[in-house]
Amino acid sequence: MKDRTPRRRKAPPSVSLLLVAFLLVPATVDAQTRRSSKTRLSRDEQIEAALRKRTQKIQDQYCRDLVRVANWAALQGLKKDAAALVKKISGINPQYPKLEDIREKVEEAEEESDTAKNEKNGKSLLTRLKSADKKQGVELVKLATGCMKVGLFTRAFDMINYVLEISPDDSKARKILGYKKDTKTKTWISAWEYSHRKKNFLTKEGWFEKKKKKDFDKGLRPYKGKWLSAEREKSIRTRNEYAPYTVKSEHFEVQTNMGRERAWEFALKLEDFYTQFFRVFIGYYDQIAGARLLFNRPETKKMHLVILFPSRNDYLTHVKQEKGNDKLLRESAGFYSGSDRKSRFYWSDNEEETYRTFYHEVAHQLFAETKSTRSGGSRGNNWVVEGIAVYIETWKKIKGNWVPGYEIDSSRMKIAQRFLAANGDWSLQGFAHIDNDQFHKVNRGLNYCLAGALCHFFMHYNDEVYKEDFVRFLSAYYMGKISNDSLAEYIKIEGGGGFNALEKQFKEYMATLGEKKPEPEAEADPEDLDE
Amino acid sequence: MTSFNMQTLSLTALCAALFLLPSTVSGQEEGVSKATISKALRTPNSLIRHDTWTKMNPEDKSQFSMLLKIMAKQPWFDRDGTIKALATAASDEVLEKMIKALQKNKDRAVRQGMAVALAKMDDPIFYKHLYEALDDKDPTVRRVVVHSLRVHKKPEAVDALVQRFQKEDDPVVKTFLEKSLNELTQAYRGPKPEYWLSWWETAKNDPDYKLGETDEEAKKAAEDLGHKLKQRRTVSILGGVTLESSERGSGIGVPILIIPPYGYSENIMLPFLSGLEQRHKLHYIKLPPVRSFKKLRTVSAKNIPYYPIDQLVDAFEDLRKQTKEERFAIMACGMNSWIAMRYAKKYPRSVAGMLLVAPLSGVKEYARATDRFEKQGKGKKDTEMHYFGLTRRFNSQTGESNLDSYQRENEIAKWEGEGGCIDRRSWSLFFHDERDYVISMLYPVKNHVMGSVAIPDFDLFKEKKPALRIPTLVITGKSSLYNSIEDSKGIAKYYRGLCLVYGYSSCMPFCEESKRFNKDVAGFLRKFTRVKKDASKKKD
Repeated sequence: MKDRTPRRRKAPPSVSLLLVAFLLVPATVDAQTRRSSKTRLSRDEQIEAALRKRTQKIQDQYCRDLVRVANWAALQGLKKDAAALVKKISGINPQYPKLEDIREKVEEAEEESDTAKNEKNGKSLLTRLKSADKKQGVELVKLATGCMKVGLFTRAFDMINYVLEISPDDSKARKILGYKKDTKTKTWISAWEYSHRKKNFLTKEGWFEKKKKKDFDKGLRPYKGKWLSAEREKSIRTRNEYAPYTVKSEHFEVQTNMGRERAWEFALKLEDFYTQFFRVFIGYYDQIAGARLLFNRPETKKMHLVILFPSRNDYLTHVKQEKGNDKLLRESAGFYSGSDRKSRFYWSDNEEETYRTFYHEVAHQLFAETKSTRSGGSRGNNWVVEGIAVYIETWKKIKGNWVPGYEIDSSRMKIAQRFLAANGDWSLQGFAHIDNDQFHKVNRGLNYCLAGALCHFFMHYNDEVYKEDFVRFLSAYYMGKISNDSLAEYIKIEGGGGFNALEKQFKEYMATLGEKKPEPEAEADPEDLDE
Repeated sequence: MTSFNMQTLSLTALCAALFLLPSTVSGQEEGVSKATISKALRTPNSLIRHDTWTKMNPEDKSQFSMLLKIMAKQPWFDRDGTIKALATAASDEVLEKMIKALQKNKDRAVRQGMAVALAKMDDPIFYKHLYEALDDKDPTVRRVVVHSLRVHKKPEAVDALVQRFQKEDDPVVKTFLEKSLNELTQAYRGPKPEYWLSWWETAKNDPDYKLGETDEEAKKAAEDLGHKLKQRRTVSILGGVTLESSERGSGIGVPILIIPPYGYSENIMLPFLSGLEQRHKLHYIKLPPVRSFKKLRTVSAKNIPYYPIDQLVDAFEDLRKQTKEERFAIMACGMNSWIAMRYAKKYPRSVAGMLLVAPLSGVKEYARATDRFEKQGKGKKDTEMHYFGLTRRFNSQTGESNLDSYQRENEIAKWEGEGGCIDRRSWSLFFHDERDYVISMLYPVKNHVMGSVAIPDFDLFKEKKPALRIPTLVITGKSSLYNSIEDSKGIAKYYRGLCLVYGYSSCMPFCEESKRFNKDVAGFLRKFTRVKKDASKKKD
């Protein structure tokens, strides 16, 4: 045993920082190469083959059922509906053997002119389709259960979500995802909401106790156990940072002076992000913990605390008042502090920028608070902490679906791209050796950009070939197991080559980044399994 | 002497007060239950306690009274929680009670807390009470008020601070006054109150003046006048490192190098040495991060470097040459005393004297301190202290800290925010009275990240004595666990110097007994160090 200075000095309470946007050079918008956000399956080929075979079987069965329904529709004179079904079958499997037969039949079919008959048949058609969807749903749930057994949690999660898309009332799928049916409204809700609804009611401002509904309807609002007029409450809650509006959702507590409605909006956004976060980073956890986070959604023991300041000035006052006017924090757009488990940031006129910061800081928070970590034990590769948060800034929600890595034309990615193009001698190994202090003090803005770009590379390169390894690496970093040269040990590159080969690939990746814009994927379509 | 009296049986008293609380919490989103408070009172986890106090409801009579009790009896971080809870008060009745407590409560800890809570509210109606509190009879209350007024830029606050400055006689409060005025105005008028008065009389009547506006020229002038810390960089070829320091003060006395404890910032010393700055130039050293040294000897699988004492000594010698000073006195704290000791041995002619604050004689004493933390922490069920002790050792093969291995072997999960709890505990242990609000004021600026190091083999008593006799003053606090009185006396004896034990201090005698410290050190330097004759002549 050796004595040494306290560990806390080496690893003070973690404060993760985000640079303000104006430190960065504005960039032009380019396109990018398509990077599939499709999760990779296990590399165990046997499992993969079995899964493919089973998926094919379910798919064929579904096509068979659809052909039957299309045939029936054609006979009943529902020509348009039948044609739509043929198109759907063709979309699922263009090589399906009976596709041409049914197409001919539909083309030859005559349209029914009796409206009453059409209406009746239309209803019947819907029932038949539902039945086919349900049948497929049952099969997919079974397959998803099998996937879980072999540890393919993300795949299982996607399948279950797909089942709910085609068959929203599938009780098995709902239960697997932790939903409960509210018998009064006959809607499926989360287990948390189910228990919460018993004593509370939901408003645009979040949840309130049922027994106080009269007060609420009168326009009164709660403050420290008393119900005050909304105006009086506003005067107190906007006075300073110590008595803000507070709302609680399933996993987050949001505090802000900007109003309770606004706080609730933020809480809902965070909940939406929460699910996607675990879907992408499930490998960060051990299998059981990951599965629990994705499926059972255990009740959160402690909320993740998020503070949103109304303006940069308010944020700076906070830094001055509570954080010793720390220079790094003053230059930041937000920060997460592990010592008090809170992430903080401010609202700016640039809404997109605000949300980027929002997800950046909350990503730090979720990595730190959803797993017992010992990141202080890692040496080197400190870029990964900010890198992964900058990478998350590239996620975008399009048509209701998250597309990880979409925003590659963000200023940070462009800066990294331009820097790498102009500095051919940049070394990945050297970058991995930079310590945390140096990362933040020397070329901080550029370091953030390069770290974010590196994470983008590891998460999306070559159809996500490194994603699983990289998430394991990330997990190991937070568990304090990483040293300066660990990156090349964790990321297995075909044909070997270590740092140099990774560096070469990264530079090539960045050089071609922006050639084609990615498209949002149909979320978790099981047909995607048929690779 | 500005310490508080130590509390006794505080937990018992607080638990008794708990019976007065209602058992349930009314309201939906705020407040905590009696059970939660009871649980918090018994937990060794300072974060849980703090967060519980923060959520208490000052609008509830019994909780208000409980908050006051915690504020009066518990350590600084707990008090911080109560202040944040009080800052949420809204009814006239509670606010009146708070103002009354600020004005009349006998316990200065309560008056301090109320001042901070009211300042945090940032409500115009409370400022007049805060300005009145600038005249509180107790300097520790005054410095808290002065510190709190620095946040929101208000001309009335500047006015009140400038007025107070004219009559203030406590040196530490004066330093805080200057600091707060600098933050509010960026005018850097220096330590003399009259300069501030004449400037402010002109500025406040100038329609073009905007509070807080300044320019680089003004900053430079302030640096030249010694009103602002002057930055210096010394590229040391001998030490193989670049040394950063800042300077302040002037006079005929020997210049002093100030070396804070390892991993701590000079900011924890800056407010307390104004007495010395009147006669001496003080060079506050920012020790370079370990990574800036080349080819350090390392240990364990994680390549933890040994603390580079000799390189630092050489860097200091280069600093002396750069400043063209004949000699320095060195004030070093804790383990960093080893740098001063080695410097005195290697360059005795460059050292006018040593001022060792809570020093350690070597690795053995460091290990004994570690044992104390572990033993006392475990014995008193002070888990944060126990864990802190465990972080001070590591496995030389694997590099794993004893805390990590202890938790692994005993299957103990890390707490949420555990690192922060240990950090706060280690900081509290620097103080004799852990309630003192100054601990809270300095906490956000205390750290100076240097990187993890292994303690090198150092034993003063086995070192060869310096070729010349070096006048040495050792000052240590009676309640310090980081070092021991016996060891301090041994060090003083080794140098044939003096050892003073301060009864109301731990490792921060310059803060906790600032007046005495400044007086003792100034007296010692006057007596034992030569004064530049030509300089004194010029002065005359």
